Amino acid sequence: MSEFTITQSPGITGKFQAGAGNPVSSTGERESEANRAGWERIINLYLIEWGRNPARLEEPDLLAPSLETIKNAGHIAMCLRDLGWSPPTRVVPDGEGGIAFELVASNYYQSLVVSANGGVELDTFRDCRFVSRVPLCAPQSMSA
Amino acid sequence: MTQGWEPVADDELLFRRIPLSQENCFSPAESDKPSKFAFRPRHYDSDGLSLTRAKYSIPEQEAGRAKKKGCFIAVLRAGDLRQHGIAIEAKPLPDNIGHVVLPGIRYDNRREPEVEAMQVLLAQKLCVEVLGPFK
Repeated sequence: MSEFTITQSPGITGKFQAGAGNPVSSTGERESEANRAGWERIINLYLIEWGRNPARLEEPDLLAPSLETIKNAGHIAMCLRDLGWSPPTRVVPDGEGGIAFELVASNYYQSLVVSANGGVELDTFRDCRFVSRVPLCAPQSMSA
Repeated sequence: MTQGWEPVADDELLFRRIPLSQENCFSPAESDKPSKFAFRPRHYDSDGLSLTRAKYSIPEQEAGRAKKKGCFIAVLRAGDLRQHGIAIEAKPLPDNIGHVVLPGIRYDNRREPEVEAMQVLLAQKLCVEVLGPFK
């Protein structure tokens, strides 16, 4: 059972996207279930475990995410799961106190970064070239 | 020329450590490519992203430079980087004569879109293989 509770919507309006003009947010029930299972895996395997022991991410020269940032990332993950977004390929500490959800699909690479200050940004690259940077959540709009 | 200062040849391999504590930055179960965050400059990379020339090291020795927990080692080919416009400068250190930097990818410009794109390129296309884990 998740340790995180959604207390407010982060107001996110974007989507992880697997290909041009091919939104991965599903209209099909099967795909929707697969997306949800993918998010559950990321939440249970990583975010909850990191939340139980944030010290495991500590490394000299890198800033590990705080428990608050891990909780924020958990909120975001559950919101995106419930919105039917495609699950990320992986979730990683960004080395600067934040947590990044990465989606690698075909020639697309996207990273949705939950920063230590609570801000959320979605960066998109195509063929390893920068496409866009979309701020999804301003730092001051996050709540712990 | 003093050892370590000679130009890096195109056929040379370069090592980049990926700390195990930066969990999931490389996980064979998730992907055969590392995360772009494995190539993000750190606060001390003021003159460029640090790598080590394989001709002056072996993976186990390079892994021994990790400060905690162990690491994976990403392997890149110098000529591949140059073909994509990424410069390489030899910058030997007292404890690592094989030290090189990528001066275009620095801590101060790490968040610039073109520099982030280079980090994606290193992770997704130019990483030849990942060795380890070394503990």
